[in-house]
Amino acid sequence: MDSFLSSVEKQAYVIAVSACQNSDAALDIVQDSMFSMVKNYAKNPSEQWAPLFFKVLNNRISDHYRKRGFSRFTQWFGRKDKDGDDAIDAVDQLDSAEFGPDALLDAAELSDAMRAALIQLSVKQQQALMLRLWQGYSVKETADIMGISEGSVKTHLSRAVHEMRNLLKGFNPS
Amino acid sequence: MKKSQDTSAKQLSDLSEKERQLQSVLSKHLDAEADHLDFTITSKLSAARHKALALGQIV
Repeated sequence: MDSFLSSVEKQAYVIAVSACQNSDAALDIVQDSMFSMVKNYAKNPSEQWAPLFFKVLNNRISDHYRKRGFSRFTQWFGRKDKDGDDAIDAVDQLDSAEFGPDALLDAAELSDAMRAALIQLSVKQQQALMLRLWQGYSVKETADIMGISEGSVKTHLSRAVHEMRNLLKGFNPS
Repeated sequence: MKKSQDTSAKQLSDLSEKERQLQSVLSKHLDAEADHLDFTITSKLSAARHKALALGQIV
């Protein structure tokens, strides 16, 4: 368990701090999640630990917002989706041969842009994005971890990808 | 950074083109964030892990 927790604690912190934008709160969330893992799931087969841990972590993040009155959940109600997905943007350019990594972005600048874009997402969108695209869980696994339907995962992910592409579109990779 | 599971590659095969493009950039960014956390944070994470392990064994 020590080795497992050591392997996921930094990823867990990045997820938590992206969600709550507060280092101390993120550390508390990660510690609570680790404690719950040791207390409740240490005897489960080790192959179950990762999805269980991320499920606990996501529940702790949701609890954090519930206690704080849904401030970041509600900030997205009424927000309009933006159109214009077809233009070449920074995300497209990163993977294109024409704009290979060497010709591209200053890494720190991109990192700042990514960080700024991520915190614009709702917590559910962040969770879907990080579990599906970073941690590599399937839609079904992501749905189980988040405690929502597969359709909802697809919706959150689709909106998150759309939003990220729009937010990074204004990023000038010069 | 190694992901917490080894099945990432096959789980990502059904991503759309737009998702795949973002996945590539996002993973690099988040891996870098996790790999370059401030020493103070990594120390606190390590301490939190040891505390959780100790508390978990007492309960």
